[in-house]
Amino acid sequence: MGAEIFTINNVVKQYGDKEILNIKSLNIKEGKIYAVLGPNGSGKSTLLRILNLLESPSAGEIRFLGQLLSFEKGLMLKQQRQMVMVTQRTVMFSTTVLANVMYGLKWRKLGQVQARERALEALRLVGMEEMAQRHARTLSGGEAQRVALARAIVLKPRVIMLDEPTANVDPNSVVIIEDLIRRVNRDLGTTVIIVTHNLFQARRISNEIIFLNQGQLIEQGETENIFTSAADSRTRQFMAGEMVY
Amino acid sequence: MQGIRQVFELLVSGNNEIYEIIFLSLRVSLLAVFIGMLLGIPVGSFLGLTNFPGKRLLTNFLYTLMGLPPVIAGLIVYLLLSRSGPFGSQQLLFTPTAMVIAQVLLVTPIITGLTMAAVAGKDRDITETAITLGATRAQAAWIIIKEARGTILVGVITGFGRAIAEVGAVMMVGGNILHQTRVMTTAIVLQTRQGNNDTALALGIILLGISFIINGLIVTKGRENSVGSRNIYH
Repeated sequence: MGAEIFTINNVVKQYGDKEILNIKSLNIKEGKIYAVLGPNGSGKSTLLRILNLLESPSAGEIRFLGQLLSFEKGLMLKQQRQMVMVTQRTVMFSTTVLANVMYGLKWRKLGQVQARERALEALRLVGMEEMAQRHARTLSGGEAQRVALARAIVLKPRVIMLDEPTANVDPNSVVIIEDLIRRVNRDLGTTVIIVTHNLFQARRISNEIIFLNQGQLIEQGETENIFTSAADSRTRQFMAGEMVY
Repeated sequence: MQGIRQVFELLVSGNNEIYEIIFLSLRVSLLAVFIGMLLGIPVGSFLGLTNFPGKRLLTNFLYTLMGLPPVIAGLIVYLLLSRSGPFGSQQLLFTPTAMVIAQVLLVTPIITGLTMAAVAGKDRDITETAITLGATRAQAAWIIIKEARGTILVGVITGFGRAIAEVGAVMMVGGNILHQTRVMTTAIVLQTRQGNNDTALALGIILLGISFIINGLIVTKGRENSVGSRNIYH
């Protein structure tokens, strides 16, 4: 634990004239759980999409494990395969639950038998092993999100990014998902970056908070410190639920 | 009722001519659809997945071709294959091959256009999910095509419907020659012209029945591979 997995310097993202993100400096260390907080439109999801190479920044530099994040074809795939993102709007491919979890492994050329074993193990971890042969499009929201998480952890990535993974999910699935996030982080040392609107959840599972407002990084620090004694008044307001969002 | 009775009479009469016509219809149309799929699905997928200058113009042209009048398709193939045409030496005019070529011309734009619409209509989230799971661009494109297969299948069925029901082009380039190029539709035209309306009607019912069975088989096969378009997002 401790090496920097992402180093962000002067990253700007603009859509036309509108600036969505402007982060001077942000370091994300390997092996920790980060919660990205902020009001709507503060750039949380955009940050995740940029880190996941789904969008390129308009300006600035991002390093992933010391190497510049690259949109050059070969290197991009190599970097992208070390991270996975799970979004709020989970997309299940039109096939069985098991095949959904096996996709990423097959794309990495893992053999059928080994891929199947690993996928079943991942499904067991999220409590969905018995549904392996069910069609993925028949799952409830919570079940689909658990499968999406299994589909991510089966790849054993260095980083898992979760964009509001428990929004609109049943309480039982929330418990399972949060428990799994902790276990993956603890047992595999996977770095987790989670965007959430749920302050309680952020406090329960994260080691560090990244607080964004209007596209800017306002404060970053250990979770308890941010909740109890944030340096910036905007952060304190937000944590107290006083900032309208 | 007369037509239905005539259908059974035709089918059990032991007259090989009717079976010859049915099998040639199926052979020509199915082969044309198969070639149309080989051409139309990759091209349609490419058009649906990429953006390039002139795409809008090309799309408009493709949509125009989807409504290509069969007589124009027949005329083009006729001019190409006629003795004075560039492929005249191949002596393909008035053969089933010429009929297949004409039908390919009619069917391919339909399959291409509907494949393009199906692929382009798939949500960006599917591509992004594949990419975040480590798919290459080609692997992500393949999963989009797989996800769009239900609608692509509709394109194939529509293409088959056009091919099997087509009369103008096959008449022009096939010539409706008995035992050689006579198919269901041209036989119906001939019977009607000869005043054998009951036979024409019976052939029409058989044609509809065949079309129903083939489409049923395509849909069943498609359903085995897909659960349809139930809610994608949760």
